Amino acid sequence: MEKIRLLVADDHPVVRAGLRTLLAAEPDMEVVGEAVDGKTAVKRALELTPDVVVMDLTMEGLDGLAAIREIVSRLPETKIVVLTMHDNEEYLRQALQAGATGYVLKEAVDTEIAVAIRVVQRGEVFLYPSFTRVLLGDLAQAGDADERSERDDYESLSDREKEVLRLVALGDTNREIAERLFLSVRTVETYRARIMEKLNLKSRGELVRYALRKGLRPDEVGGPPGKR
Amino acid sequence: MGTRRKYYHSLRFKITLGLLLSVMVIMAVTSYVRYVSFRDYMMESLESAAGNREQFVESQMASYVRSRVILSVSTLIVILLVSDLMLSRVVVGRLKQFLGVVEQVGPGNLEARVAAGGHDEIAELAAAFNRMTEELQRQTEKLSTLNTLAVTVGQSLNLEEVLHTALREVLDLTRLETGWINLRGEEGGKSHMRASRGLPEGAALAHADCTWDQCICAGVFGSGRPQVFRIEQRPPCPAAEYLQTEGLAFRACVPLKSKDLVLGVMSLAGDASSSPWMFTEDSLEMLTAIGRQIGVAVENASLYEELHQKEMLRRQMLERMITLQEDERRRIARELHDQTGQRLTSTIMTLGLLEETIRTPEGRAYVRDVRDTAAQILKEIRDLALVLRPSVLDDLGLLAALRHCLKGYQSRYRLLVDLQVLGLDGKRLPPEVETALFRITEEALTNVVQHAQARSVTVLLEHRGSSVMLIVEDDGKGFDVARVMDSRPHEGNLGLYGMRERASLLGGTLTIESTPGRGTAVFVRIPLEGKEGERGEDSPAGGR
Repeated sequence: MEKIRLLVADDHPVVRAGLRTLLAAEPDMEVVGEAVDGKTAVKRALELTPDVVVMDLTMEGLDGLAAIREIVSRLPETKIVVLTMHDNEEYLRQALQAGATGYVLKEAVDTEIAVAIRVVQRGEVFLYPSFTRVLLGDLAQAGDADERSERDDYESLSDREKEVLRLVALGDTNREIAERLFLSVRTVETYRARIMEKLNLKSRGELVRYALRKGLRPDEVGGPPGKR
Repeated sequence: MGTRRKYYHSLRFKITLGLLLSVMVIMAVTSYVRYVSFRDYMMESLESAAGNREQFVESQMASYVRSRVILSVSTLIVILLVSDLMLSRVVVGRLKQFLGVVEQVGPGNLEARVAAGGHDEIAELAAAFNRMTEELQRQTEKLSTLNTLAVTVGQSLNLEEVLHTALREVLDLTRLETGWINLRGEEGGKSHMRASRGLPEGAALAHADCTWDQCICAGVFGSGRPQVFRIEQRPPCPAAEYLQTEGLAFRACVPLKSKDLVLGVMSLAGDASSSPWMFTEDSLEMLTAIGRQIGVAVENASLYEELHQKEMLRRQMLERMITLQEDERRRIARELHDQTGQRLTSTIMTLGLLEETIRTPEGRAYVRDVRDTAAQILKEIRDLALVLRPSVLDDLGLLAALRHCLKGYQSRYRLLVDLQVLGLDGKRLPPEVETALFRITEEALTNVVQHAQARSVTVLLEHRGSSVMLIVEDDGKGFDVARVMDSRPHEGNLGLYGMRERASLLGGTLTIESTPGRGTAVFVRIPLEGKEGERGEDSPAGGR
């Protein structure tokens, strides 16, 4: 059986040494190289074309993510397992977007790293179990939000209510709305409560989403991404 | 002699004389009339009643008395009529004219004067009245000058501007061309020139830092009273020499006082033609009053400047403190992450390997325990680092940090959190803005959890135009914003003040709206002009 050829990239010597020893105990694996930062990792990967790269994310800033992107784009056959301290779905998201297919937390390194390497080598995805739950939660919530259907009673709103709705969605304070429409703050509050009631909206978040869907924010600019 | 002549001109004399004359004329006329008519009557009577002498005399007596009474009464009436005519001609007419003038002066026409004429009491009264009106006019003009000056000078709270305006106004008022203002220096015994007009450059330099004992204005600083003097009289003044070459002969020093403290001295200099004006008591009095007005304005401006400087200093200190705190937190968090965390990782790996090599089950369980403890410590360190400063904020930006933070609140406090981001398109905001918005959100959510009893909270982050807006709104029980925020900072509202300070340090605003029973909304707006660092392109959050 051919051994899985590994490249280990981590800026901490103790971690690299530990990984070497740990993986040496696995009969089907072989550490063929090490790197101390993202740049070296890319260079070593191109030289050695390992099967799997075990990569820390935070080396010299966020070098790890850039290195993952680079390696994945140039060596499509090489798989990446992220080994990190960050128990944080934001990093996970970034890592997966960059092209990693494994994500292991350092606190579980001894039990999971070998498993993860084998899984990604097979072309599958390995995530730390608690993340899977997080991702499932995300999906469930997204579904929730989509299924919640406001009664579409936009036309049942008076002109005043429509105007208040638009201004609330734009993020004006009640006082600002009151001043603009020559109303009292209390009246604006009442309008707002009535709008939420009529449209069956529960929060500002829902109200803003509703306004966006209805195109009630004509001055929506946002600017094209990366314009600056 | 004078009094007698005066008496001849007096009204009493005129009226008495008039009455006397008219009485004499009337008596002369009536005497003649009576004489003629009495003679005719006597003749007639003697002819008709020669018999009864006694009866005749009786009737004659009665008739005589009756005619005398009638005559006296009619004479009196005539006298009264004549005197009335005279009085109305001499007195009432002129009094009426006088009254007309008084009625004009009353409402404020101080230009009106009673026409001069005659030398009697009315003319005297008129003259006195005219003098009074003149004085009134002068005082009014003075007050209005002072008022104009006070208003003009007091319009600004900028010390330089106050001084320059004051000097310009006073020079305009006095029709002089040269003047300067020295203010008391911080260190005793010195004053510094802070404004000047028409002053030759040499004099300006010589007078810029004036030591009191050398300068004439030292006396004014001490006495607090204005002084006027000839320039050549006092050569010790460093400016004198220069002023003389400019042909300036007189100098007035006016103290600028506020609450009896001389804050500065305004000097006015004029050529020889200005001396009469400068030496009048009136002008000195006026200058003193002006000095007091300027003094008040100077003090206000100084206080404001001081306050402004203190506020600036406070903001700088606060900004520095916040930056230091964030830097320190970041450093410690990184340290925990990088050093302690990695060593623990290595320990865990070693312990894992060790476990494999041990044959006895007890031994394996023991090592497993230690390994688990190490993993637990690693977790705790990670949480500690997160509380100190989430690395995700630096690495991936505000949006990722907010998402992570809100997930934590959602799972820990069973709070429905709705995060909405508009107009950011993966762009990074300037780091100080990201930090501030993150900390404000944290504080707002802490408040929601601690006080609001809310079921859900919306966090809305929007980048629109050249500013970024953050709204944190809950559906909790709300509170009385005015009552909490208008009171002095204390334990209970310090967090809110902190949020507001964070926003204002970035030139932004923080508004809180809350109605009891209807939840609370925190609105933050921060302008982005001049704050560069939208690191959109090279950021990993750019979505590539």
